[in-house]
Amino acid sequence: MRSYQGKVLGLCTSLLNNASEAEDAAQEIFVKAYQALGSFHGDSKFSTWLYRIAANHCKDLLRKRSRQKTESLDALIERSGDEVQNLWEPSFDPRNSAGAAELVKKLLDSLSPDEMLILTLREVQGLSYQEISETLKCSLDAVKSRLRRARETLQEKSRHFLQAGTSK
Amino acid sequence: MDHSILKDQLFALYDGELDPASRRDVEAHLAGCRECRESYDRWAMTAKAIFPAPKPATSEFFVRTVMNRIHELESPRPVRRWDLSLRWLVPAIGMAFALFLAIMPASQTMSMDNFLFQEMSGHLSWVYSNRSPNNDETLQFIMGETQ
Ligand SMILES: [Zn+2]
Repeated sequence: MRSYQGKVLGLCTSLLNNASEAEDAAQEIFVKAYQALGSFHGDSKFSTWLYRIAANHCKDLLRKRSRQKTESLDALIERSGDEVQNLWEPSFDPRNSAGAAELVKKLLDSLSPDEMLILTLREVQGLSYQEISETLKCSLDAVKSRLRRARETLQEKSRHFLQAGTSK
Repeated sequence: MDHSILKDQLFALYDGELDPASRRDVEAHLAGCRECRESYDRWAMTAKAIFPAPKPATSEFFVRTVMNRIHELESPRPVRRWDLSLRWLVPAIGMAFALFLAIMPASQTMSMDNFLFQEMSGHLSWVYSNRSPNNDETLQFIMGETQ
């Protein structure tokens, strides 16, 4: 997926984890980008500029969403017991299990929008540190430390997940 | 080796962001340090469980079409820096867009969004591709024609 459309839609889908929301968001982003075209001066790559608009737009949506969180992680673990264990089986693909997919979604939802964004840019979109620093307008060192913090947070939450699952 | 600094290095190794010399050092350390190996594997497992490879896109065909066009547009030619005289193209994109919306047949089977995005991507990459368009291209662009 290398077109702008694919990149933007891919980013929205990964971040928002909801196909129709992602499509709406991608649409909004292209309209925003179009309206802001005059402010693009070619000092970064066009794709980076577009990604920045997309990232900010999705971050806003995630912020709004995090203000209206519903079910807690613990309640979900309680409900979906065995799926949690499967998640860490080497051969397991969460895409093939609705329950696990929902768990992963909840786990990601429990991250802050900033953590979610930097992890998605790196792990799903495969951006280099340099590209992330240009997209988020921060230094390379900031990318490394933010990424590390986000990963450690995610690992901690996963561990909590796993322990809660196995102790059931 | 300091394990706190090494944690950063392990992530950088995982991300393919180490220069060859550092990579050799870190890999050598990994080979002899179980703690770091486990730490590395733990992240690799977590990432695999949480971020599986993205699903294939639904509009593969459009993406390919867009990319083909972008490649055509970006084929090597004399390069000139994006200059201010091209700024008139910004309102021109608007005109092309409006024209596009007006002439778009209702029976179009692909989604309007996909089509617009495809158009937009193609034109933008051309507008910003560090070279001036020739007259034919400009005309085609204003007319909203696909190439
Ligand atoms: Zn070690």
